Amino acid sequence: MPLKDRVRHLLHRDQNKDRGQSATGENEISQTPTFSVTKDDSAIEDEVDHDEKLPHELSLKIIESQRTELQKKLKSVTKKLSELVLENHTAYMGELQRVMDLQEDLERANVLCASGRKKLTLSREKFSGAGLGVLGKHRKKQLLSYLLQNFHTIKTLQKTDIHLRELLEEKLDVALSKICSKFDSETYTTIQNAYSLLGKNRAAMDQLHMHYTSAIHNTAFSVVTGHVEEKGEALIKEEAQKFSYQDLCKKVPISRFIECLIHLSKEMWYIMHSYYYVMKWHKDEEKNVPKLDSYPSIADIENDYNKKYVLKKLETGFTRVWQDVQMKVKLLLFGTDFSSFSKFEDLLFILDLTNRLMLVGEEFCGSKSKTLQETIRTQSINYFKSHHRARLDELRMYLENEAWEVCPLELGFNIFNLQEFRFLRTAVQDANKSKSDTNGMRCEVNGIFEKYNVLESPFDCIIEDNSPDDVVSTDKPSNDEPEVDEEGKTIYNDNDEDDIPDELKQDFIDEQTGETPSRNYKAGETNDVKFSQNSSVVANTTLTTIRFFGRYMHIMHALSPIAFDVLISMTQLFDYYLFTVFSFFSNETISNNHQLSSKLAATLKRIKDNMIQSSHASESVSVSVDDIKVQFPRMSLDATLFDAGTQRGLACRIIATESVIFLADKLELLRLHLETMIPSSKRPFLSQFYSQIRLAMNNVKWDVKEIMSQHSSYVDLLIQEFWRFDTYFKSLARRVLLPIEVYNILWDRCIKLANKTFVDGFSNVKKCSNEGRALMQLDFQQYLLQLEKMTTVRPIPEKEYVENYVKAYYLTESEIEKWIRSHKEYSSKHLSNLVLHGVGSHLNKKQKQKILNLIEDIEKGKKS
Amino acid sequence: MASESYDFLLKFLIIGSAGTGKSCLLHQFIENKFKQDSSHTIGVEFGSKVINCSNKTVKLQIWDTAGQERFRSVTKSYYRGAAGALLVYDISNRDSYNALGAWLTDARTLASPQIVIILIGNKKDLESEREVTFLEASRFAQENELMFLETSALSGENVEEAFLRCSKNILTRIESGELNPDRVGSGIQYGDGTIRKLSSNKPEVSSSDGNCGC
Repeated sequence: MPLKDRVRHLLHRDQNKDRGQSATGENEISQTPTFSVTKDDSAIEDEVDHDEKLPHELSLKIIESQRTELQKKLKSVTKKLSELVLENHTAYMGELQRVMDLQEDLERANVLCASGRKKLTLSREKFSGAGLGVLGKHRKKQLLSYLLQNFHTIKTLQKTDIHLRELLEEKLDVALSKICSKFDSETYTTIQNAYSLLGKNRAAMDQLHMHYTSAIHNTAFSVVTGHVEEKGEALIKEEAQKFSYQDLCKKVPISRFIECLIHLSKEMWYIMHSYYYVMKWHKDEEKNVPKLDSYPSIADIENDYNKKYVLKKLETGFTRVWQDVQMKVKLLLFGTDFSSFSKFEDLLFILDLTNRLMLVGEEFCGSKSKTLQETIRTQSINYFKSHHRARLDELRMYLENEAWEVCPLELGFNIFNLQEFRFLRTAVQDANKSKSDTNGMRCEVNGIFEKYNVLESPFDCIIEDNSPDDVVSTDKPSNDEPEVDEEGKTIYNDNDEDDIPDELKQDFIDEQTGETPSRNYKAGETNDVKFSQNSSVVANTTLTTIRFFGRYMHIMHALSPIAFDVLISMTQLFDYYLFTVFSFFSNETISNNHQLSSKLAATLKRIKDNMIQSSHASESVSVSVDDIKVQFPRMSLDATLFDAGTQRGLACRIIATESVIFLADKLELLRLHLETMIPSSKRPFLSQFYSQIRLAMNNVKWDVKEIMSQHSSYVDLLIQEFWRFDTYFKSLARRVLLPIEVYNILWDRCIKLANKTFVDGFSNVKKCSNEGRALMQLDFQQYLLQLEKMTTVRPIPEKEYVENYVKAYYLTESEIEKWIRSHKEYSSKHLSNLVLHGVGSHLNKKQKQKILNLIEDIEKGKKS
Repeated sequence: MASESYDFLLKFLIIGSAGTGKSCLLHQFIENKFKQDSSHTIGVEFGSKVINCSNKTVKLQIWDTAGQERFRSVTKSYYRGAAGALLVYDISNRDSYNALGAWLTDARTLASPQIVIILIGNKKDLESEREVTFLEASRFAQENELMFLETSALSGENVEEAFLRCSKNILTRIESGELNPDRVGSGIQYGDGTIRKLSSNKPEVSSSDGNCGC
């Protein structure tokens, strides 16, 4: 305010001055004290000037002049000054105005400030309340967001939980699938617990079954893939995927087939083993759980239902799993052509393996393994046909090369010592065992599944001795059902002797006279081999044939489904042998058909029709495997056979015949084993075959017959011949040491034949007096006397045959009729001669004719 | 088997003292495997194998005889008509070597004087127990016009070679006409007709036919 006033005041004064100026002019200005300052200033300057210009001598005049001059100056200055003031007045005024404005502005600002301050204070007071509210809200917000976060976490946790559940189930699933190949009770319990916690017992069981199915498939696939070779190189897995399992099976090379089969069986075994234990686990579990109360809770009912479901499922699963396994094995078996197995042992090995597998199958689900049996049957028939074909050819070769020398067998030789028959020892045992086992087949404890722990399998021991050669030749039981006790030791080895079944033992005792049992005939060079009185006469081929029998029986044993086919083949071997021996040694006598029994003749004819290739068709025609016909064997030593010096190869003949008997004998011995091996429905065939064998045995002596046929009826000559025969025979006996039985039989035959010759001779006598007839009797008595000296055969067989015939000459008509009716042993020729030339002499024509007719009738009756 | 085709069928013998490894040689030859648990052969056993030799397919019919004395009478009957023979001794057993002379005589008289024989010193793997040197055996072989090889049925060394060499020798002799397959008891048979024609052009066909009854 004062500033403003001051300024205003100043402004007023200026206005006044202006006015005054304009009135007074320059004087007034000079008078105003306002300019005194200015005067002072100039005065100072003047003073300086004065100091300089001031002359030393002051004169008024100068001073005057100066003063005027100064006045003048002053006047102009003042004038100038007022001019300036005037000139600047407006600016001054403007400026002043502006100052005033400024002052006003300032005042206004002041007011504003004051009100601002006031408001500020006010607002300050108001602000703190709102702030708190905001803060509160903020905090709330924070809390909420925290909560939200928690919610998120919870949500994640929830998701995780679900995920974990899934993972868990997956894991459980994986664990389950692992159970398939290796059962572990603890793991399985854990898994089951887990599933029951999840409440998914039933689903788990379904899952488990799926796992088993796929485990079987996958395992089989990878096993076979591992053994497939393409162009000598192992197949890459990716490549293998392209093929079906069946195709893969076909690609398994024959050299690796067995290995592959073992591997597959083993893997399958593990799976089945595991399945078995799963079942067992569930059964055990059920046993442990107490029975339901009378008022069961819903949960209990549910639980019980689950368990029943699981057990049911598992039970049906057995068959399914086994079916799957069978299919896999079947495809593998079919993948290979069995007939291309060169070695019999290989087949045996496969059969044993399959049998074992079937045994496992039977134990597993009581299945008879039809699929597998069919497969193995088809495949082994394939093999067997070619095998049999080859054996027959081999037999023919042996026969053709046979020299019918006695093959010296050691004392105590027993066919069961032959490597080919070893299997029988264990086989009989098994048979006995299986008889007792059949009742308790499915009872839980004594099954094979209990015998092996998780890491073992019934196929293990096979792998250890991988050379199939050993299978038949060693005493190891690996070939037959392995009986492994807890320590894993094989049982047979220790008590070998005790295990030999009685019927075999019997045989040992009979033939082992005091010497140590020479099972492996480790004889070394025993120079003084003794032959017992009842030692067998055997040719090399006979041994071979017996070995073949052994092999065939082994096949029968290993392969009961085709046992019958094999048996037939076995009989063919025997038939062929019999036929060969017959055709070699007694073909000459075949014309004299009446000397052979009709049954034997029929048998020989049957053999010839069925088995012998007609000589024209042979060679050029390629022989198919199904064709069992064999070429007619060619005799290798025709020459010796007709050499009278060796009594027409008597030795050979005897040996050959004896060997047939030996064979038949041994077959008889094997009968018991054979019977156990073939199905009972086929037994009649066996007995039929045996009756044929016996027949053959009884008739097999035909060969010696013709030795005597050429001899004259004259007694001395006959006796001489007998002497020669006897001497030769005895020397022969010294060399070969034939059984006394043979010796007797030979004599028997010889004498009978001689008797026949007598009758022949007598009947041929056209005219004969009573004296002549007496001579005949005398001759015959002489002959008998001599004979009794030579031979030990008592009584002389069929001496009545001759005596009766001679005596018949004396009979009357009625008597002769009766005699003819009762004595059918004479041929019609003998009888008619008797009637015509002997008795006829005292009969008339009519009577003769009547009797002749009677003879004819009898003859007809004989034929029909 | 029936479908097998071959150009020649040769009958072979394996002879020699007991325990020299004859059966093992045969087993090794046929199965390419050593027979671990071999026991003494009873009588005669048999094996056959088809081999390729001088561009021909040859089927060998091999008769493996028992070495033990008591089987002599049986085994001798198989000598007849053998085309080739492996005469085996055991290099670790002097006695088996000393017996060679007798075996050789047997073979030449019973089989045929023309029989092609290869001398085999078996058990070559038992070097440390050797009782017969290579040199003296090969001298023996030279003196008796035999081929000679040392073999090991255990390792299979020279086993196939032995059979091959013997077969080759026989085939060469057939080609040169020295051996005539048409002769009865030659131990050689034709596998198919074409070859028969080829070699029957040779001059010595008509040596001895029919019953030669030996």
